[in-house]
Amino acid sequence: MIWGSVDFKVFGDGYARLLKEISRRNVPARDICEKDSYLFFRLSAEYRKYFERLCEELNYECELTEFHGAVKLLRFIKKRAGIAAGIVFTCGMLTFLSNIAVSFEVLSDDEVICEKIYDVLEAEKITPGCWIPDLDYPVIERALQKHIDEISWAGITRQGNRLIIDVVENIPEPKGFKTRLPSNLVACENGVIEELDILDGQVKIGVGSGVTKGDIVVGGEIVTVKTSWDTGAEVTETNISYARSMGSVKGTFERVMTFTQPFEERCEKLLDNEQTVTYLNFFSADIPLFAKMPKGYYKSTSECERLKILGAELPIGTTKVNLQEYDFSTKILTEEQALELASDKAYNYEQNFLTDYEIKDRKAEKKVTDSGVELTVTYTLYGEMCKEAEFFISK
Amino acid sequence: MKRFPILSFFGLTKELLYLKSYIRIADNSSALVENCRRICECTEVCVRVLTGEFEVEIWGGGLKLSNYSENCVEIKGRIEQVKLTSKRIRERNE
Repeated sequence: MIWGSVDFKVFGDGYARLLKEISRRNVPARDICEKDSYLFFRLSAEYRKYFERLCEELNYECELTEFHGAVKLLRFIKKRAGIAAGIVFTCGMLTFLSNIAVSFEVLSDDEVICEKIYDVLEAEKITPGCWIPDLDYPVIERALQKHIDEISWAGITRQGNRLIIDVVENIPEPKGFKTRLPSNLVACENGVIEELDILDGQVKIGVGSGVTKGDIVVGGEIVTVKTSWDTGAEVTETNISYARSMGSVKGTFERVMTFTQPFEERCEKLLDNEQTVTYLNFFSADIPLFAKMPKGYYKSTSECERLKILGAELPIGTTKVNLQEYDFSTKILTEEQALELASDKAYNYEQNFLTDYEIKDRKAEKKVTDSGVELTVTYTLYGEMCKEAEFFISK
Repeated sequence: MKRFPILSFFGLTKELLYLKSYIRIADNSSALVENCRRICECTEVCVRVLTGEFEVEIWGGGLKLSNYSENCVEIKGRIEQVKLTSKRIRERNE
């Protein structure tokens, strides 16, 4: 019955013989009924030919009246080749598309790890649009573990058209000193020491003393001299031990910075020419839907629209790129404008580099030259003025 | 008064060998006849089949017969009357 069933209409002289044969040969007939001197019944499609031969054998006239089930569908499709081709094409496309990777999802909150994973996948030629059955998951997992130091395990699973990359991140080691080389605290500014908070090492220059760049304020080489008298003679015993100088050396120092602003400034100027170009997105490919990219300098903003079916995003869509043309022009600044810009630069410098220091004083000196304005600022700062400098022990 | 044996030897043998005809009727909509030997007639109002010992006549309306497997037929439709005629009586009448 998997192929459906067919209805027959039989005509002949009495049907006892036919019914007897149907019973004897175990022909699975259904809905047998004699009406208007015809015998009607339904047969499984597989028995069609067999029954026609039986009727011929017993001298009955049989007529096929109707098809049911799969046979009917097949006959319907046979007459409509387009529909059949469409169904076959759709099935083929569905099979093809269901085996294509559309997107990747990395189960990690760390953006750096995510980026590295995407880079490794790209290097392994695993990009949106790749053929999923060709992917060898263990090989990719090994590649991820090999190339990314931040992860200890990687696993790939497939969820429909999406590949999910699950990773176990390494637990960061507690920060500590990896080397035990002795070190000095060396002055990196010219100034006066006002505060010392030393954890280890030997203080060479005390509070209130002035230092210049490169002076050792706290030494890692600790020399102890022990003097004793033995049989009337002085015996001096010198011991040298090494330490890693640690601590905070704060003081007041000056720092001079010069900010220059030329009178001629090159700046961008937006033009009226605004254009929009469209790309067709198919998986990761951007196919341009325009003949020629306009020449010149353009600022661009893009907007991507993907097709959606029942909330699911398809890998097909369009990207509209809005291009705004601009050009460069030279602007002549007045002295006030140039000074204002130089002051802005000084302010930016303070915000970026002097936040760790206390600015005790700030003296600005303006100098106008033929080409522009020079603003020399002398900062009097209070803060850390030494840094660690390691040294090797001579053998 | 003639006495009939409670247990017939041939009756028991037939039952043990499943040679008896079992007829199951569900309401008035269908009847299943097992051990059917032959389909004699099948019209909308009357279905006549032969079993080992009886001729089974089913009367009604819109009757249709289905022959599913060996020696088993099902009659569907509106069943109004079921008549069993012994083979011997039938042969005698003929």
